Amino acid sequence: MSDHEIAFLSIRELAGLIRSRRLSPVELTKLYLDRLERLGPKLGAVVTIAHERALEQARRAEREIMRGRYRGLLHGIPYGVKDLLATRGLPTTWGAAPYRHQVFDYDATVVQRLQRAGAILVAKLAMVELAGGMGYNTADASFTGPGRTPWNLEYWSGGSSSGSGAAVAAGLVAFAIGSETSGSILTPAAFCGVSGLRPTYGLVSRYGAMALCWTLDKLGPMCRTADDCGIVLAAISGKDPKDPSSVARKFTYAAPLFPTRRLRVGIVKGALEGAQPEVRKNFEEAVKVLKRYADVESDVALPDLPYGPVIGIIVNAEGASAFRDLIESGRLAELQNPRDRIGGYVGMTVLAVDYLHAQRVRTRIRRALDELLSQYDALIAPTRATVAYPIGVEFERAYPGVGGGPPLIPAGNAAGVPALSVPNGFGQAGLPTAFQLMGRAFSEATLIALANAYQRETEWHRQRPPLSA
Amino acid sequence: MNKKIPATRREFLKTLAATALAPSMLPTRGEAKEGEAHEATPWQQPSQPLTPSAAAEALGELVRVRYGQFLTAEQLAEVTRQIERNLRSAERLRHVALTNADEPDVIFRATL
Repeated sequence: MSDHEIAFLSIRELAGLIRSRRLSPVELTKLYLDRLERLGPKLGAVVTIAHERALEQARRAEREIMRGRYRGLLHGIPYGVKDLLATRGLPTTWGAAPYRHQVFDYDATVVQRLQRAGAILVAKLAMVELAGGMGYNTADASFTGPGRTPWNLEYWSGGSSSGSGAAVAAGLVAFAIGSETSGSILTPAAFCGVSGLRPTYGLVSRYGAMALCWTLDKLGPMCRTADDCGIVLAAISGKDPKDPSSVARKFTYAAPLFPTRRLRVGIVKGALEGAQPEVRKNFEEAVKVLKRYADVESDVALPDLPYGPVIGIIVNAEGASAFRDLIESGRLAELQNPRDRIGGYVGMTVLAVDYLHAQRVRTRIRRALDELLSQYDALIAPTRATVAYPIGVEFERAYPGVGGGPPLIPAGNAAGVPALSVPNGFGQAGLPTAFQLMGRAFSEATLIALANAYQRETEWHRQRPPLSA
Repeated sequence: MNKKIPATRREFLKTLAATALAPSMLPTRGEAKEGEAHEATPWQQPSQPLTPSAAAEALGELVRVRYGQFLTAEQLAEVTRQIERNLRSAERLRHVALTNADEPDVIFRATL
């Protein structure tokens, strides 16, 4: 098997080779370090490569495995994290110039848990500055420049977990950790053609992660398969006394899950409205596959509630509070995107009563959505109505007249429920398309099982981008 | 190039006075459409010509007084337009009928 083939194997495939001692964690780590160095800059995907730390962890993993102390599926597997997770001794830049020299003296809980599982941190991955909380509208909203999807370098890799999506898609890491406040895992997963899981709010500790919005932020895996998302989620989930929002639930996952009964799936009403033709066609083809495992009902209407405005007000207010020091210092001016340079000042004017009103409406949203989701194993829709946006064009001008559709991303984030995006084909300019499955709180196992079934029947997740070294 | 705008107490109070009339002047339907919310950052909205309401002007004035030294006149104008969008979003929330019993989704705990 060539290095190129190895680079694109799934975690489960790599784990099989490592456990049987046919693949050395040290050699695998060197392979990814080399790809990160050669290809990372082309994609704008990497902030820091953790050479020393990675090789030290890889040697330790190799020693342990050789001695017969195999920790599990992540043992010896190299990965990257979005550069908003604290990592001891390495820069943690939050994608923003004012923080480019910031270094923490501790590891985020997610990083600690992955280390305990034997995974090897090889890189801090690029992201949109401050996770997009200041209202960016162009792909270059990061001090590291625009993130590029490996499928077409003239197009954005999505945000705000830009580097996480691109690095997984280009075989620079075996998996990555992203974060989502509202769309920041699902969007880059879709634009890069990888599988991305937004967990239920509270399932994964955020200790050590940059706070943008305390009541919305989530951390989750971005991988080459849905099955891999399950493996990573199992390692990082669970109560953490250091994060009061974390819940006392552990997600367990070892063997690949598949549906054990016929499932019930709803297509969100209006899901294809405004979507690009290829997005529509690929979604319809995906539904045909899902029908082998589920009864699929069309035109399931989301409760008529103001999801977007609720998210907008909460992010504006919490984001302004989280970055008040930066805003009041005038250092927002150092941000890359012009809209980011003023967004914080807008957030400073959100009235307390409007913020609380949004949180009160959110309670309604949570109840209404749970009532709807309790009738289905999953609701589905295209993850994005379009393929990735071209770099150098303001988002709202990228595809005039296209886009819109039901607000599944803000609805799901407002309610704190999980969603999983998986690739389902290609559209304009050779760019990937995707669909998302959204379920009730803590229904990750069901979503993964259905996505596993879909990926067992299709090859979209196995496609490799044309990027050359 | 920063164009600094001096803050005068009189101008500020004049704008604030206008704010008292603001709630009834806001449109019943804001510009934050659900389809637009299906964006990478759902809180961002396309730049469209907006006429800021008196409330937006007043809050924009607050920004000018507090942070004017960091912003150009052009940026301040854009801040005011974005504030108007926020206010319209907030107004949309008021179409959801809430009662006194509807608590916010943020729970205080006495224990650590």
